[in-house]
Amino acid sequence: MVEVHPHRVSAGQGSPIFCEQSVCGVGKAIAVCRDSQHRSQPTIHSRYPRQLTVQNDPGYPGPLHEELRMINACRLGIALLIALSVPLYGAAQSRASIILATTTSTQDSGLLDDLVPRFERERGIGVKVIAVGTGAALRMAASGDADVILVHAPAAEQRYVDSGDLIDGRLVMHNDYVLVGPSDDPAGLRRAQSIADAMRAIGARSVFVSRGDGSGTHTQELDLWAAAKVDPGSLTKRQETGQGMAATLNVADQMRAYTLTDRGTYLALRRRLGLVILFQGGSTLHNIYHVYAVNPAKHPKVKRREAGAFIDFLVSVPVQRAIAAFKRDVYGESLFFPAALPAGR
Amino acid sequence: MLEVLGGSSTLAIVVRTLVVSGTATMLATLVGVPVGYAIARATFRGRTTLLGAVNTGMGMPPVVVGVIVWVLLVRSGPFGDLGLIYTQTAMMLAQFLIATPIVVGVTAASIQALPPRLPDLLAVLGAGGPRTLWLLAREAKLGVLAAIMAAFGAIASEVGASMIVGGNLERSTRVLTTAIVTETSRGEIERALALGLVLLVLSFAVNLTLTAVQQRGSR
Repeated sequence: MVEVHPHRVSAGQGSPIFCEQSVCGVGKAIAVCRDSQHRSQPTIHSRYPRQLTVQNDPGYPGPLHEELRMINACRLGIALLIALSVPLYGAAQSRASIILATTTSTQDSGLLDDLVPRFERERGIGVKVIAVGTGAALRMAASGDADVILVHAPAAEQRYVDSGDLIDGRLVMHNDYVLVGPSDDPAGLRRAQSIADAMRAIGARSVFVSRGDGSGTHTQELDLWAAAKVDPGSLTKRQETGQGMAATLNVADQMRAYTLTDRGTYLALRRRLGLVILFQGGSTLHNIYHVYAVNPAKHPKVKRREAGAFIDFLVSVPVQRAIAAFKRDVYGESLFFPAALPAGR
Repeated sequence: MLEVLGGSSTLAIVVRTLVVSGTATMLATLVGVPVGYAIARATFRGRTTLLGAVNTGMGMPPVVVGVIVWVLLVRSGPFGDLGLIYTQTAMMLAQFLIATPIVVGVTAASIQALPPRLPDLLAVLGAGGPRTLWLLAREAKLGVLAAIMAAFGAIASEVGASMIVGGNLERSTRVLTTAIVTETSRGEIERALALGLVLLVLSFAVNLTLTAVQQRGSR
């Protein structure tokens, strides 16, 4: 694609003049003429000076640095274009993939890093895991922007089931929420008799860091304030991060504040945090994860078969066992408890 | 600190960052240099307004571009059928939109800094339109390469748009900046810092190469 045509174009007195014509791709030819000793200023012609006698000449001094550089740049450009079009082409031709909108807790704990590659390997379907909050995941489902969602806010989920956006819901796993805070426990949560007591104790005088992102954990926190008859808007020491669980735990840790977290994410990050569990237990703090397919009857672009395959995968016996075993050896307890195993396991 | 960079995933992230931001920079150069030249040389009504818009675009927050591209490419959006959301192509598109005003703006400024009669001179010497552009670009080499470096620097270090339209997918769209966010959020501060160092080294290598081309023959 690149050619250089050196030609001797005039043979008057003094040094002979040579012209080089370089062509790169489909671009216009450029001719550069100068004498063989490279002494004269080059003259540049957009067209080859045809009026001059043209003949190959053994006295040709070889391409000049400038022209070589131009030609090399041209070659490099073409090679880069070809090299870069390969991954683009590959991406366009890639296998079927589904979009899984899910909570940050399943991502931050590392659970999906374990399960998703296994699903992709076994079923040959790619999964794009978009870790947002449960609220955002539900909205993505309602606009048909996801194929399958894994979420943990049952009351909110029910509204989307009722509206016909979500189908094929299956219980996948559960763990529980815990209240964590600085180990000196300024609000005295360790003495609290109930979760409502605990929330009131924090609300009275302590800093609380909230997710504030419409996630399942955020929803749960708001429910807890409501049950304790505390208006979170009135708490001057309550802050919202608007970020995921891991980021929020880090903020709470730095501020020596209280926060509500799912046990899984807390355990996964515990070794880096000064926060300790100060209140736990009770059915109110139950944290339940469901998987749903987005309804293809309502959102025609949804990949029904692939979404169904992912749901079947999550509730299959070997995967349920894998969920129970996930990082159990590292933390001495399960981060998530499988919920879809048949009785007796 | 460097042992936390072990594993093939770091290399994949570096290569991905180069491919995505490199392609976006190249496309922005192909579009931005001719447009910048045209704006610098042409005289038409609204030229100042257009230049003002370009200069505003140079400071466009990447995260705003990200949201706009997301709305366009997401499945329920107008271009949802293309299936481009959460792909490297989507990231390239967003980064291209961020980089192009930078290339246009800096190119226009550097072409305007050339002697105003140079294009006429080239025309008299017999150069056609595209060739005049090429020769002027060579004259304005310092400025055009500065434009390319500024564009690459802006998009390789941008995180908002890449996060939103790429989705930060571990094996396909996680680039250095979004990886740094993830590692920080997970509390893996050493790895986040190490990746930051890699990004700096990468930026330096790219800019050093371009600077070498820029400075060659300039003295």
